[in-house]
Amino acid sequence: MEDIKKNIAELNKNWGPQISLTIALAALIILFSSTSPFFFTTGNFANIGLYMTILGVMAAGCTVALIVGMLDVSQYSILALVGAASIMLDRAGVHMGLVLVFALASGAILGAVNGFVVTVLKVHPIIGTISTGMVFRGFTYMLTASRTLSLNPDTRGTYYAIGRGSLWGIPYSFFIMLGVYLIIHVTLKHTKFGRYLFAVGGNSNASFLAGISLRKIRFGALMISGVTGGIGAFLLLSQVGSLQPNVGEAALLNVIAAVLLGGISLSGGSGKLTGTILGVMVLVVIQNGMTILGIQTFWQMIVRGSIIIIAVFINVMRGGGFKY
Amino acid sequence: MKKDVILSLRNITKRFGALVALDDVSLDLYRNEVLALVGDNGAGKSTLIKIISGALIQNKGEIYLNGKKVDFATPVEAKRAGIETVYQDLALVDTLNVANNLFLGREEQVSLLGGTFKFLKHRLMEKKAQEILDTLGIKIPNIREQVKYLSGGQRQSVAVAKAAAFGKNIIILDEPTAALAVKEVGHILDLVKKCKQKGISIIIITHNLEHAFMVADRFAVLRVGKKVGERIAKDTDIDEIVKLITGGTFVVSKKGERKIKADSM
Repeated sequence: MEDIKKNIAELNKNWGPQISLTIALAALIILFSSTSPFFFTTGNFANIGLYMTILGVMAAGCTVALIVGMLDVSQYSILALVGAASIMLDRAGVHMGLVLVFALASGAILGAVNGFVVTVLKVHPIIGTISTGMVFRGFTYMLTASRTLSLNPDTRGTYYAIGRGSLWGIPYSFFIMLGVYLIIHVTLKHTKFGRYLFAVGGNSNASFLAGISLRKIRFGALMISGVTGGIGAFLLLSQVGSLQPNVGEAALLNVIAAVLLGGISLSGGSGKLTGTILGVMVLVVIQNGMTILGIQTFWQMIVRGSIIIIAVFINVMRGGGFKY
Repeated sequence: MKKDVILSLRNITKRFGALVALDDVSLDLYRNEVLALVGDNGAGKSTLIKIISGALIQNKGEIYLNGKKVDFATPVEAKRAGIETVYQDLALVDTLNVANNLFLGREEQVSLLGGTFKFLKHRLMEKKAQEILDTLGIKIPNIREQVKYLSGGQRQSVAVAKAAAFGKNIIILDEPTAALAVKEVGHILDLVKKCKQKGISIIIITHNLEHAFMVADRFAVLRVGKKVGERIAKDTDIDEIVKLITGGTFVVSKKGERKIKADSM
């Protein structure tokens, strides 16, 4: 009996959020399936799978930043600016492969701008990334003249082949997302840089005394977060084919909601990608279910806001409150 | 027999603005000894060890390690020279496990594709970590456990083990027994003795003179930035050290308590 108790405590310590999220996910699927005939269909699941990819990729980047103890709120602005610039390149006749390279590189560069603001100018990460986000968004409006941009009709098909194509009913975008998770997982668990992300987030003073460059690690984390914004932009173009300059403005907190829901601690030093992906799935299923049930947008906002509060509250109860 | 000096501090002065934290302090550390550095709050103990460990740079004075002059600009340089410091509360990363902490900043890696990719050697580091703990007789149930789930004594043991494993020449312990349970204090002090047996020289800072007397070979006493005395442990006692620390003398109060009467300074 003692052994069982101990094992349960151990399980909860290591996998608590993952277990409760899996249960929540199952409950939500049962709830929505029983209230709407349109929910539990392969078409809708493919839809969910596609919809979660952009959020999922950016949530993985956001997790990396949070492990170091930083919140990056500029990701959607990075997505918007990179997306707008990518469409303009496409319309100027640049090949899709090069546009992809551009999206990754410019995501990294904008992440580096965040890194500069946070580590060199020493602006607090939240304030820093809200501000750079505003700057990036401003450039997006400037670049697009506040209009919706669309891909060149002649090349659009090649983008759609990726964004809307699927293998065995699973969207390609979903595989791209899995690839991003795999790369970030290997980085976190099996490289020195990954180890140092956890170290700096857990105890920056001890890390400094161990000879770790805090600036490099924080800079790197924000660059990864930026790159995932760039990947998000490419996925959006290939799925939708167009970009509104205000894209993601209303969804600003979605990524953070998903990550916090996944049990990633705000205090830094810990975080599991399995939590992140489950947090993303729960959030997307809730949104999808509410939309299918025809629940009005304002209710959806109220639910989303409440989820963040509940997620953070649970996080604090587990000892992971904010620490700066 | 002339003792072998491993670390020699010559006329160290450190100022913070108008405040003189250390005033012309000279001190030798002998090979394979435990030196207790004692003094009241603000006496300059922490400043002195920070200078030795490269976290601060002195305004005046020289440091010689094995007879060679050294200038440590960063803690990393001091570490490279074989000086490891265990700071209070700053030694370990709570969210990393025991093995990760022991190898933090010294990770072993395997190179793939001619160094394009480098990955951590988890198994090797865990094996070595276990060996480090075993040689010092430290029992941690699971070295994959995050440090935050360990007791205060276990954490301190891990921190000291880390210093002992990599400090070739000197380890400096800042209040290693502060905030520990009585039983755990015994473990840590045993650990200090074991480190000494391994041939390491140790500087220990503590407010607890009883703990100091249990391990120290020698005492160096600082008072308001000056070295006011050095004593061989077996030739002195707590009363004399307290006198040196405070610059006062003991009086026995009516209730039989020992109180310190300050000299008119």
